[in-house]
Amino acid sequence: MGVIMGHEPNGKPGWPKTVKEWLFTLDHKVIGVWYLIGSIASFAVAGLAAMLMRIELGSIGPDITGDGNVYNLWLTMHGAVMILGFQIPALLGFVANYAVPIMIGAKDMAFPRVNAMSVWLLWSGILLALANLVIPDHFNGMWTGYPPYSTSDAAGNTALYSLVVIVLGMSSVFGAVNLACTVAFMRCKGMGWFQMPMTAWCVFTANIIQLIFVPVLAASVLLLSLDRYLGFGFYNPETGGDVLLYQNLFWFYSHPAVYVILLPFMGIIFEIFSASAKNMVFSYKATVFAVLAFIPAGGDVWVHHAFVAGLPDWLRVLQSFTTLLISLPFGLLMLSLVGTLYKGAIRYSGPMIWALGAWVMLIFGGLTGIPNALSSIDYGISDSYVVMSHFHYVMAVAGTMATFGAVFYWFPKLTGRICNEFLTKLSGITFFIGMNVVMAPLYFAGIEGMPRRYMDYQQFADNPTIVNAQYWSTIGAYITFLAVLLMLVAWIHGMLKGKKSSQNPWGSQSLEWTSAALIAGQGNFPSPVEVVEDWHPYNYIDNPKPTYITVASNS
Amino acid sequence: MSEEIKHYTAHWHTSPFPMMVGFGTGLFLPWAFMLQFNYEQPTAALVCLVIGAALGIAGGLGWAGETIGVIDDEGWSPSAMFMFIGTEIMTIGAILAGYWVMRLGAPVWPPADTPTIDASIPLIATIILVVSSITIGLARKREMEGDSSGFVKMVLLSIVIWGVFMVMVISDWNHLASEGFTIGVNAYATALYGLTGIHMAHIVIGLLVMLTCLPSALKGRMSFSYTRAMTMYVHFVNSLGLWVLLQVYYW
Repeated sequence: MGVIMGHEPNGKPGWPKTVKEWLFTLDHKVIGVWYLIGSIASFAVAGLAAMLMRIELGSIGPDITGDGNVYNLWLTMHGAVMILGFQIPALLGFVANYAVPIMIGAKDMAFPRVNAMSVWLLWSGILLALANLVIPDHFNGMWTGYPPYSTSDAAGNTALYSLVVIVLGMSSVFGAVNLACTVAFMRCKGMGWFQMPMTAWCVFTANIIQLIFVPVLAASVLLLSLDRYLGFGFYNPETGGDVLLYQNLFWFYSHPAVYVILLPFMGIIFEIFSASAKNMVFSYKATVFAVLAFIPAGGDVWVHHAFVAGLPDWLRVLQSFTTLLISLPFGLLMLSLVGTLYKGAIRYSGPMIWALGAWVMLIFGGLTGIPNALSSIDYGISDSYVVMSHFHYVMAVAGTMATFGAVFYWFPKLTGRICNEFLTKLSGITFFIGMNVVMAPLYFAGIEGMPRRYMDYQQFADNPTIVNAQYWSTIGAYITFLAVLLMLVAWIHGMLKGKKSSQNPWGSQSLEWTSAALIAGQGNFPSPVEVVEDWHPYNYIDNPKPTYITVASNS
Repeated sequence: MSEEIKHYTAHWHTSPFPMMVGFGTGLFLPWAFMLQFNYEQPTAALVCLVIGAALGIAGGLGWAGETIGVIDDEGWSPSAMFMFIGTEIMTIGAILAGYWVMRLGAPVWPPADTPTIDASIPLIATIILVVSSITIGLARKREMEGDSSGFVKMVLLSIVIWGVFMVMVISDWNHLASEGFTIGVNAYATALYGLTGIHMAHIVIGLLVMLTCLPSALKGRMSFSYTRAMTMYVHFVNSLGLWVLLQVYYW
């Protein structure tokens, strides 16, 4: 057997031992860990920015700062770093890299060197984004970077914003091409498309969405810098350009970006639900088609972000319908999750608590999306806390809970140990309560007219709903902060003192647990794996065991 | 777990080159742009540009050196290139959308202050450019025949053709600018320089892709997969050149 792209099977179980092997690695698992470290660091920075904003908003008048420019910096850093530095890299970096190849029985990604380049592009993007905290003219145009503000001097360093997005976009595109090839060509012998774990399907689909839509975002922010620095006029009405062009191009990617984040974390929830309930994913094939349906359904809804931008009526009505259509595949996925739990022998493990929390938050977030989709209602609540709260339920809370659930779920494979179950559950429940206390009151504040992005709300001083909502939301932020600390304690304790894990602690049927060493070495499997037609990652009844193909050793 | 197989590899495979390319293009080149245009510090920008370009080029050559003709060719690169070209089409599509919005929304086109644009030089340049599709096809044929020196000659010829195209386009830009038709004049200028500029950026990337495989080929090492992907990219950039010509000068 030949050497495949510089990788061989038979790697000794365990992690690399030297600094060189870590830094210059080509292994998908080590690269996955680099993604994880980068995304957790981004979460810390963006989370602190959120805490500062929440403390500032806790009461009327200056609490930490009276300087709107400083508040705008927090706002920009929170949004941009959470989405581009934490969520997408955690899901399409860590989960896609660490978990997917090993779940489909592959030795590595299709292009290990491209994979390594992608992760260093991500780190370049994160370092560039962090530079925003120290440069004198920090960019303060929010993560959306709308012109004409962002093409004016008041916005600060627009080039930084453009380049962070472009560099992270390059990282995403190379990563997406790599993962799509991996899933298409490197599934183990015998594994058909409909024998792939849901995580692999969801990550694959999310990457197809990335491939189609990321380039449009990169082009839209490139044009921002061309306009600002080289005198182009794409967004400049004075020379025949159009400001709304940016809004269209930006949301053409940035709405599907929601599904780029949503799908992988749905995949994780499926993984944890199925392993915890020991049930086949309900209506597996229909669920896979529902996942794939997000590609067309997610791609034709971006105009709903511009409902109040003076669009013709027919377009607003049309886009209300296309937006509501998303409920179909989304609803199918939610039903499938219910079906997966139905009559299952559910074991409420630590990761299951996080996954359940994510699922419940997803229901809250999904249901509040329906009124937002109707342009007649959106007219009244656009740019208010209602929209912000809806968005945070889906992305910030459900997404984050599932992502951290994934870390707890694969923690034994990362470290060989299991996190303390009590701490895992306590942190998950605290996070769930904390984020609900943060976000639920803000719906009511939004309905009362509280606009998003404001650093103060003196004009609402006599509105007890808004004042109380802001107060309780800040209390919720403290609870969430405590939950994150508890989670960090659970991880550190787990790494150092956690109970030694068995080979398959959750009783999953997926290959990463059944056929690779607990801490898999280079090449993942001692020998290439083969599965038969009846094998399925969610078949908990008489699943035929995967076998190894005996090959001549390279050494 | 199979107990019979104990022949573990002694160490993990590593390579410094992806990191060099990643940080060179992802960190230093962006700083070069920011220092030049946002902070107006040309010396510092030049330093960053040189470091970034050096890291990128050295990384790329090292990368090619340890892969092309060295490790087994799985033949997946063309599929990857197919997807990558798809993303490129979306990028260009976004910029074209900008052009269409400006053009279809304009009361008169071209805008009143546009001088007469001579389309003959871009036409000749594009005809020359498209010839490289033939030469790169011949390069692929030589690679399939195992003729590395013939391959090198045909790739070099394609590089020269692209070089001629670049010189012609830049001289045309200079000519237009000398007539006062600079980037910021009107929407047509934005579209013309934007679309031809993005095409030129692809020419530069394509040149790097072609140059990268030459050192290995000079040592007699070629890769079916790389050559096929490179050929696809060259055809794509040439098609893009034709499309830009039709959109900007002949519509």
